Amino acid sequence: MRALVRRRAHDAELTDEIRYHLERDVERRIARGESSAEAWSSARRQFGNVTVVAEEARAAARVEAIEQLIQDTRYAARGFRRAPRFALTVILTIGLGLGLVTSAFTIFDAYVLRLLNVRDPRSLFEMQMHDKWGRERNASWNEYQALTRANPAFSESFASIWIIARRDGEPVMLQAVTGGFFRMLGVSPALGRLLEPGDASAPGSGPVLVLSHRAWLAKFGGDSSVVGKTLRLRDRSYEVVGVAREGFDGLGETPPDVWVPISMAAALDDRAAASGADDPNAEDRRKIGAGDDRRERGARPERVGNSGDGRSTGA
Amino acid sequence: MGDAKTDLLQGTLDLIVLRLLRGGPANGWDITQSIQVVSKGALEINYGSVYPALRRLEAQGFVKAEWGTSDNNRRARYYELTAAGRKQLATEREAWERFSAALGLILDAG
Repeated sequence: MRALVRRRAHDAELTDEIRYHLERDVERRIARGESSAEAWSSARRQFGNVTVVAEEARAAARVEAIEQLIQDTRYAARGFRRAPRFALTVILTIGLGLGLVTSAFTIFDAYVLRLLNVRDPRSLFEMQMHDKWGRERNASWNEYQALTRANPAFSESFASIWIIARRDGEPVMLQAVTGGFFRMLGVSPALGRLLEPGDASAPGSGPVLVLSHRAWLAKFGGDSSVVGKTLRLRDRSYEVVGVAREGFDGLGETPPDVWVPISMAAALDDRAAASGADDPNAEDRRKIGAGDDRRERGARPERVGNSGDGRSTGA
Repeated sequence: MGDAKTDLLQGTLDLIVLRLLRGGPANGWDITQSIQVVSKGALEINYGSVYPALRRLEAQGFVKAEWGTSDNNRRARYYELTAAGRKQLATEREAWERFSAALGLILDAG
């Protein structure tokens, strides 16, 4: 099992870099007589798929080899005993490989990397699994358990599954999360309550959902009587138990509309088999990382973040 | 998959970027334009592929990056060869020469 660590501050720089490039190209094309719309579309075409480029650039900059990760976490763990307030959290993403099809540039543009709007974002680490060819892949439930069970470096973790459903002809972005998700990230509700560990106890249990603040405004007009209402998704009814606070858009690239307990993932998606399934390669993510298999580490002592953002080891 | 082919292309692009940086610090846009100019348009690449290449080189310590101001007064990320990068360029160039000489021999033989 190989896992890599990713730091998100690094991506803000990449966004800025790419934006600068595209703006230069567009300016030049406009100066040559293209219309603004033509210039943007031809600049983007010549650039290539922005999402793919971003993924590959991120992959290229990562720290490789779990040996290094293990060393780092041992070092970090020693530090924590002296400074127990630093909690490293692990986020493992179990994706369903549904291949989010969206306009690459729009999504990328929305991927503004302000520091994540959650509690203590610098202590968050994301674990990405790779197959033996170095390609990114999803973790199985059992791998998630194994990784997080007796790991002294990580105090909390969560896993999630991404699902797209449709309602009234519009796509609904769902994130099915393990029980500790909201508590770990220190998110509070704007209305009602958020998901709790008790909601995700057994497969198929807990048909409840939490709306994102954004979705609540957009699809329910900010109506405060939405709590307690039922929402039908994929032929099942879900009770709305709450709305997340304003400004919380999850941690990923796309803001989810709705959070449900991970126990509901199987009901929502025909291909899903969340709890208990040991299925590491069933749903390979369509976004394949560059899979750079280099073993030697670069000369730079820093990990991914080039912004001088050091690890929050507290050592 | 086409992994070997991808590696070859990646390696070639990395070499090109290293070579172009020999002339001094440049940002990603500058580099793509240099590729156009220097190859006289013969080399057609997706401009975006330069960015993973730059980050690979950075991760390996062959270039270092710093934010600076561009000629049109905007913030851009500038890359510069390190000493290790210069050395790598020489090594790779040498390897490439040997490879193409060997290839030439094979292609020209009998």
